[in-house]
Amino acid sequence: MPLKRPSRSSQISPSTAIKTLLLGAAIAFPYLTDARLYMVAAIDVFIMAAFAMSYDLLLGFTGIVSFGHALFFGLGAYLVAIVMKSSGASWLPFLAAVLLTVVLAVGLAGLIGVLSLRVRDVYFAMVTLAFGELFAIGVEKWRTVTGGSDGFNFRLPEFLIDKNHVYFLSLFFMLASLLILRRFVNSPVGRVLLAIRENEPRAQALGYNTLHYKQISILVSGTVASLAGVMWAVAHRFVSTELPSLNRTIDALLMTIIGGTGTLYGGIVGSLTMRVIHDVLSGFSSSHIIFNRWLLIFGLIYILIVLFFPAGIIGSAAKMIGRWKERHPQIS
Amino acid sequence: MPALLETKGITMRFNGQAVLDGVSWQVEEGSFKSIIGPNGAGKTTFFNIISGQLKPSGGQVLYRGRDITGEPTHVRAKMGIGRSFQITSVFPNLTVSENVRLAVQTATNLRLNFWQDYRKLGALQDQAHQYLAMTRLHEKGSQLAKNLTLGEKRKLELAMLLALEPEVLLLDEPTAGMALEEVPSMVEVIRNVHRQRKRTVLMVEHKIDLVLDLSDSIAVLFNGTLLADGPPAEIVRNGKVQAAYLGGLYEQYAQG
Ligand SMILES: Nc1ncnc2c1ncn2[C@@H]1O[C@H](COP(=O)(O)OP(=O)(O)OP(=O)(O)O)[C@@H](O)[C@H]1O
Ligand SMILES: [Mg+2]
Repeated sequence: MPLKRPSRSSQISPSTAIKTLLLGAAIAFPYLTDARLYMVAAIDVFIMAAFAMSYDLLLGFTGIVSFGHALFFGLGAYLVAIVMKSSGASWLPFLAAVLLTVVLAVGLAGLIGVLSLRVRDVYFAMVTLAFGELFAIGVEKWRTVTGGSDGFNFRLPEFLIDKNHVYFLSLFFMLASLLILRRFVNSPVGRVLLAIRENEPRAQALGYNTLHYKQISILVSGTVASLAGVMWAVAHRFVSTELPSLNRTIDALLMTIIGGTGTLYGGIVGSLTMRVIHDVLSGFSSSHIIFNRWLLIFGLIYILIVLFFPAGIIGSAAKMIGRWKERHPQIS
Repeated sequence: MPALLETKGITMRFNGQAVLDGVSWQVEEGSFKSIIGPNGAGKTTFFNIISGQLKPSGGQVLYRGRDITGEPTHVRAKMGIGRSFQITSVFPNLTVSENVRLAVQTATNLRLNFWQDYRKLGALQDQAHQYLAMTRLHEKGSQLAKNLTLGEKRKLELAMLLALEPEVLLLDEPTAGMALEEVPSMVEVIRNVHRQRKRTVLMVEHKIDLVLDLSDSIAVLFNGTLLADGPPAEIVRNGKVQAAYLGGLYEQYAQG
């Protein structure tokens, strides 16, 4: 009977063990180091991981490519920043800004979906690119409110200034995003997204209104991305035009591919990998001029990863473990 | 009472060339109708127009007397028009049982369920398993669909179609690519859907003996027009059909 697997609750699987270990390490991290630099890096990794996972929902689970994902990131970040700048450091406006972010993210995702999904998938890529660039240019030009390309600082409630608080909040945010997205992709609706990724005309022939499902995917993805933007603004208390830029979308795309599309966990691995590579390479930059060109070297590393791990780090690891299990069926 | 399914003057042009040219056809509820015709006659195109994958250049499709020419595929599927594809069309990187489970799921009210784990919806899994057993794929349930043989993929196509529980089944060459010894069991499945479950079946098939055996009536499509439409005995005797097509093909299959 292939359908009902025997429950293995009595024994702990290796993957559960690894996850528990990593989580323990993440929780212990602030107590092991108080180097600000590491803390900030870890916070960025968590937030970008959530952002990359939201991108994976589109790319890896629904099979659609967005070039405007940073729009949502920038939206959340700038909304919180602008509200906090004009209202002072209290909770009520902050929470109102978060709520408004979600409402606007849903609205924008709906608009983008309506404008792009009726036609072929390439149009989705094009429309998202147009929206993303429009937003980025708008942020840059509307100096009176956004400070243009210089960006601006703002204040936050006392609690959100403590780096430890921000660390655990970001970690919690990443884990919550992971759990919610994982739940979503394993739901009946989420499975239809996979069907669309695999073969959209077939999904239609089964009676699924695929438009409607893709729209849901964009809404969920955009909302998580906008909250990642909020988290980023909280962590840095500073926003600039770099947040809604195409570069950030490309970062999410690369992180997802490096970590493994359609895995969710890949977003976390990809975010960490990119940050480590970036920091290590910039660390070398004082020793040799070539390391100043970190993007160039990163490009090479990226090509190597894609060549040797075509399914991404998580995807390839899962495949290797699967093959190993096939060869050693007695040890499970 | 109107026919269950009717096409009125269906015309389809690709780049100005008429592949279908005014095809008017009726299907009574509960009948088993086959469409035969040489390669490129427009059979698959005709199916695509009935199930909504293609919009015709002209003409109408009616279902229970209602004009559905403008309805998208998924709406027609919901109405009860289900189809299988000549070129196997499955979800390659999902398991075989998941392919079928997704077909079962359309008939449920889970379309807005974001929260439950699909693996815990046991009733759907069980139903999927039944359709797999029906098409003798139950031992392949946990394999990825892309790893199936061509013949097994054809069975999966059929299992997915059956799982939709449609009123009308459009079968586009259901046994093409199947090993010869597997054909009889699939024919039995198709016959049962028609006889026991009283479903209307439309079938495109080149295996003429199979067509003659199963069909209440046969339509012959030739160069985009209906050359003849009638009971098997009549079609076999029809001089035009023999001259144009059937004779040669029948010999070809009788030998092979
Ligand atoms: N999307 C398309 N664009 C252009 N031409 C097409 C298209 N689909 C089908 N055709 C052409 O229409 C004609 C009829 O094709 P169709 O697939 O309907 O034939 P068929 O009767 O199903 O043939 P077969 O027995 O080989 O399956 C062919 O000449 C084919 O090349
Ligand atoms: Mg055909």
